[in-house]
Amino acid sequence: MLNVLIDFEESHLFFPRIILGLLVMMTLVLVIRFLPAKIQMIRSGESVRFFFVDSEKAKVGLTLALLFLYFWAMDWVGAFFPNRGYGFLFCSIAFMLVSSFLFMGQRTKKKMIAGVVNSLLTPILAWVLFGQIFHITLP
Amino acid sequence: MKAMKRKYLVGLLIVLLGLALVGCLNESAAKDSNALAAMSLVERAELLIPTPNVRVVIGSTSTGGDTYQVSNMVAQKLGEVLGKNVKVDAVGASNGFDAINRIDDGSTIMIFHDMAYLGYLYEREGYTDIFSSYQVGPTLAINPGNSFSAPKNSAFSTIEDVIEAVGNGEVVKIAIQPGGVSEIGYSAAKNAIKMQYPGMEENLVAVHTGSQSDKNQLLFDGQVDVIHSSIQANEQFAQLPMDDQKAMKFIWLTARQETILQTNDSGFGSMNIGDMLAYVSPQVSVPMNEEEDFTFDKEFFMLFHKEMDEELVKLYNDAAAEVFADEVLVQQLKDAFFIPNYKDISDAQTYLTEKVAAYDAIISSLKE
Amino acid sequence: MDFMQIVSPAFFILLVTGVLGGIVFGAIPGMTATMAVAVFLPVTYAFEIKEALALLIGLYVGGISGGLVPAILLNIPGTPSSITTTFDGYPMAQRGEGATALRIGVTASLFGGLVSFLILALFAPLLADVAIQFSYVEKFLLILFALTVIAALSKGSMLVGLTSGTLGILISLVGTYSISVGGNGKLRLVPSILAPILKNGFSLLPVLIGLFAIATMIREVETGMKNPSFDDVDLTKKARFDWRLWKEQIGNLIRSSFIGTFVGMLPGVGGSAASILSYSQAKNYSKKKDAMGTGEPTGLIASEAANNGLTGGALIPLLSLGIPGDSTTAVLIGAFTLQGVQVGPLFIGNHPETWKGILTALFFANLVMFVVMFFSIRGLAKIVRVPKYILYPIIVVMCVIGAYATNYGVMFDIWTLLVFGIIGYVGVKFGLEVPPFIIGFILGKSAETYFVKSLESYGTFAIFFTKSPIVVVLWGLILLSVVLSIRNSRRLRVKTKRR
Repeated sequence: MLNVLIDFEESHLFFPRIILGLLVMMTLVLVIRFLPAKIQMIRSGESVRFFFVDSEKAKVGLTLALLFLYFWAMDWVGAFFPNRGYGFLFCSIAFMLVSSFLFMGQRTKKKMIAGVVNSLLTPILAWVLFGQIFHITLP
Repeated sequence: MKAMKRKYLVGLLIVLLGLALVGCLNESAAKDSNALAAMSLVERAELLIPTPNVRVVIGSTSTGGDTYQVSNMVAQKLGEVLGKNVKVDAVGASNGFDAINRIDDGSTIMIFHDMAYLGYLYEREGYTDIFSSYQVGPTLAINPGNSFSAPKNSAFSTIEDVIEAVGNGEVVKIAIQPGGVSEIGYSAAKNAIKMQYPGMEENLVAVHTGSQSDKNQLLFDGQVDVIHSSIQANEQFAQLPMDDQKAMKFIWLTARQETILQTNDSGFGSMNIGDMLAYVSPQVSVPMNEEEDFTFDKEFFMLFHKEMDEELVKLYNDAAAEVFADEVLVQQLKDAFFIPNYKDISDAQTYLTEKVAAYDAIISSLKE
Repeated sequence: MDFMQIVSPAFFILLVTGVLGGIVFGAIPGMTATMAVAVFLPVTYAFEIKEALALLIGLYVGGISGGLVPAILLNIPGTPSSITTTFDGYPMAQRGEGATALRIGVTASLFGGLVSFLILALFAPLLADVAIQFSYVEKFLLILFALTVIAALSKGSMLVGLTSGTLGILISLVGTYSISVGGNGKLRLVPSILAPILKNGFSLLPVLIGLFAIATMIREVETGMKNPSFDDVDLTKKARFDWRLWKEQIGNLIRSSFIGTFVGMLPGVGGSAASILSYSQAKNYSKKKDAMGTGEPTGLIASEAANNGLTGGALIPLLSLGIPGDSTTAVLIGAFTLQGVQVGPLFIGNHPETWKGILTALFFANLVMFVVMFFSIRGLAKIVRVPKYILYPIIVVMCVIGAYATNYGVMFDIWTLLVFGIIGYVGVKFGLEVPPFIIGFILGKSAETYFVKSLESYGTFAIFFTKSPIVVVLWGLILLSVVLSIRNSRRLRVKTKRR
């Protein structure tokens, strides 16, 4: 009963199937245990909220979009200057500028200067230290 | 507020477009092959390779392994010859192939070994025919250490004993990593059994495992009778006394005799050339067909993008020749137990094509 | 032995440089000890072997130790082996005990490092012979043992924790069953359209920093990036060494250091498993079980003693078998090959000078690490005062470098960062528990290899019970761990109900 024969050419599926089976079982139990309570909650008019703080919803979306744009642009720009890390350098500066202003909240002159200095300095220092001195490959 | 945000985004876009423009202007340098022929390697590299930094991706993810070691030595010298910074990145086979599939401007090239085509012959995912998918560049060096080992107290003293035992119906288990350099030795032994004792080859059983340490572990456990090994990694285990659980002995070196004869006189560790030759064809013979013994040299060579410019290919070819003209590098390779084996592109292609055909014959004959 | 012959001024300068560099790498989210060693490896070509190793061992020890800084202060593990440090370290920082937590962590690191040094110095070849008694079967059970921590870690319902952990395992299996571990190289769990992107699966480091750093940042964005709610009161207090705490914790300290060293010495089981295992055992045997995970020094000590214990442990198979014990020593082996020194069972006997040099380096690296970190704690703790609009953009950029460097320059690793940032952010809202998930992810691949390979070789499940006496012991430990965590969670439920 304990014997099992694993065909090497099919062995890549053996363990994932077990894990997948376990996962389906657990999810079913979870659904059975918690779904009625959830339905009850919704029926009784309690709102099920995704965002804990609604006011910043737009900022979350913007941050995600910004990250996406940053990563995409880095690869795209980097392709014009092979193996030099310029994609990383230029896009990081742009990303940091936009994101520090986005995260800043109340804008004061002092904060803005700090943000700009940080956005210029960090990528340049990182590019010099990691890219030029340590020879870590950058996009 | 909103207007401000928009301003940043527009600014960002303008920066990006500006960068793109600069990138395009770079392209327009004239490349005339007659003019190029008169130039020095550095001048040609300056003109043809669009960047001061050249990236060599290798087919292994290990920075402690033989591929990294060879590539690093060659890359250093290549950098001097081309006047570029050449850097080796251990991205692994799949990422490496992706990189040279994508980049054709000569700023990224690949160095890999026989696994590049063996993976294809063994139909492993992600491997394609190197001759049609890429341009095969010059060969660089050989690692002569590819071997097979057994426990020190094993009854097998060479692979010939294994072949005979299997032929007489004994089941022998052999630990290999699937789809590559270690499987071809196993296939060759199996093929030899099939030739001498038809039908018995099923008794040679492959146990698929990973790194050298996994293979050693299977041997310590008594789970296998023979493992794929290398002189570099296993030579010290061969020096251990018989009563040590970890003691091993070599039973086969797959390199050609002429390869072993080129190693440093001092050999490796406690093994000198004479010791090594005792495990090499013709002393230890695994027939491949009626006429020839099977041999396998683990060879490192360059691969380029399929459509990389002809002048760039020529440049790397000439640069590699220059690299191997350097006595210091050649000695450095030998001291690290590699055999320098530069062949220019056309020789390399003929040589590798023949090599692939021979191994293809073995693998297909086992499929019948 | 002539001490001065080993410790030349150059040796010591390189060692200190290594430790400092390592701490910086370890402390930057996204950069790891492995990366630090890899970056400096080509430099060492110019040095003598002993000096090269002084630098690299300094980097190794510094890198592993530096990871505790962002783990405690920012809830971002600086290196994978400091994941469990966040569980109790960050809550302490939130309570305003950041500096105290750092002090405890650094001291535990020193202790773990020195214990592993002693074990390496005294028993290396002997222990290597013990390590090879662990085959696929025993290693699988050890991983299973480490996985039992998931049951102990679950905050709310144990079932939710287990489901999160199982999901983590499943995600770790995405891609090909790698040939490099003996798999057949075939794809699974990937739709064929996505095959070109997902064929290599997800790498640990980008997943980790995505889940912790990026997801944390998005969460902060949602709550408006308020400046820290926790004040750093304990900075004003004078640093005192709390002997009472250490007297209480000596058992935990010793056990954790031993677990770290032991796990480190088993090739392939890997670095992060050490602190995970040690954390779960600390929880099982702690008197204040319920407080674990809410800022209890016990957890912090267990994690940090174990991950520094790992350093000496991982060097055992490297120096006495030529087999690296974890990912960092796998890079370290390159230093030996670059120098033409063979590591294998005869290494210690053939190169006594180098061996003594390594021991000296490991010993002093731990001392230097302690001195440097202990006296910079007041400065480090101020990181929490840096405004978040400055801090988070820096963290993202550093994570990008780290992720891209994981596989020496693969764009997919940066995308992984974003994907797991989103999974971490959205998942938590749907009840995903991140710690069990990441632990499942870390251990999933090894669990598969050891499990499937055991069955391939032996062809029967019975082997997991009959292979060797070690197997029986391991089952005993697993059962004990499971029983303890079930009892614990029951007791906790009863307690909360009463309230």
